[in-house]
Amino acid sequence: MPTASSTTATAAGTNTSVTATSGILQRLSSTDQDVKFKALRELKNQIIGNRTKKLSFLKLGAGPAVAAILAEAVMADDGDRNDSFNKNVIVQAAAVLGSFACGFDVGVQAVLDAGVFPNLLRLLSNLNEKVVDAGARSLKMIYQSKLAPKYDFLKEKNVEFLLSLLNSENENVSGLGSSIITHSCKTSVEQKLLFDAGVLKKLIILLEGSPSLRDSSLESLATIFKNNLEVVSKFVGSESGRALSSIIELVKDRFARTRLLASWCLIVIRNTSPCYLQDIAVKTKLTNTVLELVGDPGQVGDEASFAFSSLIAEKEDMQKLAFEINAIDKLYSHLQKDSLHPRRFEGILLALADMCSKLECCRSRFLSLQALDSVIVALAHDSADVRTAACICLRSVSRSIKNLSAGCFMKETVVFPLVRLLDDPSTSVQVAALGVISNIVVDFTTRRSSFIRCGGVKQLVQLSKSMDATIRLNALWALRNLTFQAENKCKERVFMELTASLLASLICDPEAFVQEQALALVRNLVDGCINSVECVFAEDGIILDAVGRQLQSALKVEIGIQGMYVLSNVATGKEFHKEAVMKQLLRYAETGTQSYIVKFLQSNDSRLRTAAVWAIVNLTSSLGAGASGRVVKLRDAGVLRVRTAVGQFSAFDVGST
Amino acid sequence: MTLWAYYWAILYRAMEPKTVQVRRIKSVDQEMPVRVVESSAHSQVSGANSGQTSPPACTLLSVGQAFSGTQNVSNLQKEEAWRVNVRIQGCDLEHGYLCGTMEALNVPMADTPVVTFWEGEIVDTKNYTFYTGKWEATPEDDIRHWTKFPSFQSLLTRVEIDGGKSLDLSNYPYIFMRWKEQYFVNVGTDCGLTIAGFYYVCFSCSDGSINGFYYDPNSSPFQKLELKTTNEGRSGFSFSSYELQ
Amino acid sequence: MGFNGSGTYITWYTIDNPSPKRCFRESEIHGNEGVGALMSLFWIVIRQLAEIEAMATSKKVITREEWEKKLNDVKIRKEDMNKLVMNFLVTEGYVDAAEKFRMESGTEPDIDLATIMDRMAVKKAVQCGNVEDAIEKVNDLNPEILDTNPQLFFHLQQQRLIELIRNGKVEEALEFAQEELAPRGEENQGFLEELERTVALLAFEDVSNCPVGNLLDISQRLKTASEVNAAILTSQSHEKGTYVCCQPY
Repeated sequence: MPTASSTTATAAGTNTSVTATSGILQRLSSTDQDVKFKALRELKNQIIGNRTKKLSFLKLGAGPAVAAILAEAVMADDGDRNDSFNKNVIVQAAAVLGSFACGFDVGVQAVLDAGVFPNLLRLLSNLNEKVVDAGARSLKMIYQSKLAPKYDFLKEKNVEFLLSLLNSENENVSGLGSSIITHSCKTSVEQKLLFDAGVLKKLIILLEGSPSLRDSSLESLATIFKNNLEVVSKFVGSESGRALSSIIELVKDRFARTRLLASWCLIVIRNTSPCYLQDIAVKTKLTNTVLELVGDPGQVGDEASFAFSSLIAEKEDMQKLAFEINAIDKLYSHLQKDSLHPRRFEGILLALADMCSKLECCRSRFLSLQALDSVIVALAHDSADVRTAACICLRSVSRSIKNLSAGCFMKETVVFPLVRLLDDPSTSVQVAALGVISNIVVDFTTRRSSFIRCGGVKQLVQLSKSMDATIRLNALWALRNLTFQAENKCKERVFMELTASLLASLICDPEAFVQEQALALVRNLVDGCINSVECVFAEDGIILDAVGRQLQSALKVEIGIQGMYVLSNVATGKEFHKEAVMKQLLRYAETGTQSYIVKFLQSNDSRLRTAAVWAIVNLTSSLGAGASGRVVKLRDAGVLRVRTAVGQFSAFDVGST
Repeated sequence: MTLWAYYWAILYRAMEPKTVQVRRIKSVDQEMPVRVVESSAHSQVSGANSGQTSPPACTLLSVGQAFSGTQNVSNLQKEEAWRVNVRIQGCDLEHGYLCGTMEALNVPMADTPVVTFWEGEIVDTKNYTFYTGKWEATPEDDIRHWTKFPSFQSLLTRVEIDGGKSLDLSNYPYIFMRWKEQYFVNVGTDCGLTIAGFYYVCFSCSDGSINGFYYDPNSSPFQKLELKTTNEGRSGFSFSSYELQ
Repeated sequence: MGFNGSGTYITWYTIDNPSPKRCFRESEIHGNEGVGALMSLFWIVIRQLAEIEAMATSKKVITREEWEKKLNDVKIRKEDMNKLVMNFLVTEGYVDAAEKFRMESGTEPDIDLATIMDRMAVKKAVQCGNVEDAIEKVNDLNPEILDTNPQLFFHLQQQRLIELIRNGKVEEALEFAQEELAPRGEENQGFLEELERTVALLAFEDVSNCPVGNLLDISQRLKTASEVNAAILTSQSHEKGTYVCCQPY
């Protein structure tokens, strides 16, 4: 304890602290049992609630010291219910270990390293209630960390033991049982096993217990439900939904944490299959509750925004419902608060991102609130997670064609900070920034110049050479969107930076999704002004060759589609261009191999058939002087089976199969 | 406008009738008798041709495609028309959504071309029916305009019952839409033009032509929009694409 | 229930927060056990009603007339009223009264009455300014409480600091603030602000007239005591959906 000191406060603070710390440690190893006990208790009161002190004590080796005291006391325990001194030592030692392990992985590791686990387990079967309490509490703390050893449910005895924990009258023991489930139940086999063993029923009973027990059972329930349709459907159907109702009831609980965990449970159930929780009143209550919890100043608030995201992500109906209860406004009001904790900041940004991911009404609301400015500020946040989340939020909002068309995003205030993020040390930030850029460069007017001016193209080309395939993918994606219907100057600039050989190598990238974007980029490059077709003929037609090669070996339909549109677009050029496409199509005909074009024309995928047909249409269009010659060649190669009489109009329909 | 002198019904070796349906459409307009129908869908508004579950649409109505023609604004006093260019910018068939820009050239009183952004509702009988239900258009107004399209005649009796809800238009060779201009892109609202009204639009899948009528209770009635697909000097049709993330 | 409203008032009540705070004057809560208890009980009912109301209609302004009308319309069952009374007695720590009430009304408390004594001892310790003692007692009761409730832990430590300052132990206070509280401030912006406010006490010669002087008021102790009380109660309670009003006001 700090004592009065005569020197300056700073020096005194450090000195006393070090002395006090090592003093306690010394006394822990005293042979005088009384001194030892008092030191133990003092240690406990010093570290509880104080992470700094936990760390400094652990550094000085308090872990092994306390573990030794525990081991000794457990050995000395005579089983007598009332050997109070020794029992008290056990209780204090267990409390110290539990506190070290409380919400703090370094502490959990230290406690585990000190080898206390078996001794703590032994405490559970002690006759003295306080000892059992202390042991269960400490183990619970350990099991709340991911560092805890995995509990193997597949061993029959273990399930039995778990059930005995859950059945215990002692709330700390039953709480330990549910903590073990939350910690260790991962696979669907384990979920099913626990369900079959009747664990769910026990957990539902525990919901009647104290607030903390209720919370831990809710967590366990969510763990057992997660992505397990079988378990969820059995649970929802059981007892005509009474168990489910008890969870729904807890969404209205008095404690914020309980409300959150009950909501999580329902979210997990609903995400397993949308056929559950159809009741509009329940859905509304759930959405309202989670949204309101986002405003909670504590940890609950930090987590609530993630729960909210999970509730609405990918679900248009839920987004609509949330929109109608002013979710955008409410989330934004939280975003405006000063000095948000990074985790909370991130969560709110991601929640807004999910809100704006599908519905235009949400994006309009977001933009009308001027929320964009706050998100742009977040792009420069210290935390990489916040920067990423800000990008993801912008990405969702920028899905609005209406606003893209109005040039809402192609502004220096938006573009500059984003381009700066392309240099970010964090890959996830880079990828997320590329995602937004991909959207905002879809510009239907001539504002792309501001992007080019700030060095955006150079950066994107640089990133398209990244070792990281995801970055290559997204850089190419951005370039592809940038060149969509772009003016010639822009496309020339992109091509000049990229060079034909780089493009050709990207078309042949080891990753199929990169190939697809590279082909889509070329497709856009050769569209528009007729001269732009020339680019695939640069460096001896290296690009066109690469396209042909990829088409022949195309493993993915999407590659076939984009590749065929490249050829199709090139085939709208001059005679020379058309002939070059012909050469590609028929390249393999001589070797007796079936040409990809035949395969594509018969594909089950109408998109691929369509793309292939357009290439043929463009090649055989009568406007071209060599059209009839090409028809003959294609027919001879077996691409065209029937030629209708020249001059006869007809149409074909490759859809509606 | 490019003329396609003649065309092939392209039939492929080994192509089974059950996988690909080849049929002839008696073309009304013999200029561009090509209809390539594709299943293109995306939950996001996007220019990509990916996804599986949505009504088939015509490639010529996909993003990036351009159309040009005229809007007739004649009144009793004088014959007048201005040139119009349209470009499709976004398409989300699942939600029956289409959008793009419309550029009006040589507009009287305006010294520059006037560009507007419009959003379209595709009458797919799922998201939207023939009845507008807003923009000051009564069902009578709707019928009055739709019946101006010859291709609508055969649908009339069904539409009068329920707005067309019971119709399956997914393979109909025409796509009916309403285009509503949302804002001026390059000029202020004081440019002398109004975007208070909206267009009843009919797109022909067989030749890519677009016909439309502008409806605004306060403007001269039945201003006719006539557009044809353009290929911008190329010998054939080229297609760009983008995809939002 | 009869009630003489003199000396109390209902403010215009804007319900935009499901956990209304300080909407009513509450000095009666800590009055003598007889009248004070009843008065407090009344406030608990009011709060509950307010909460129920807030659940049903968020963001709604209720005028005084409306409010009083609603109040008159509320009918409370006898069992609920008994539970309410029991809850109040338990919450506020009137052990003997609770025991008597249990026997007379047959209402079972949600908590083992024996635990009340421990809780009252903690509460009393804070009220007397023996914060360190209170902390040790809480840790003996349940070491999880302060480990998992950083806000409560901070407030207790802050109260300790206040007591040091009150007793004129300036250097010790500074040292304590530095060592115990500053790290908490680094973890949480809100704590830092509260800490700064508290340390500001040291800057004034005449603390009774300084802007943060209210920290030295007895009400600050009571506030902290009530927060600890609530936390212990929560950790012990087995109830579900009862009327315990254990949020610190």
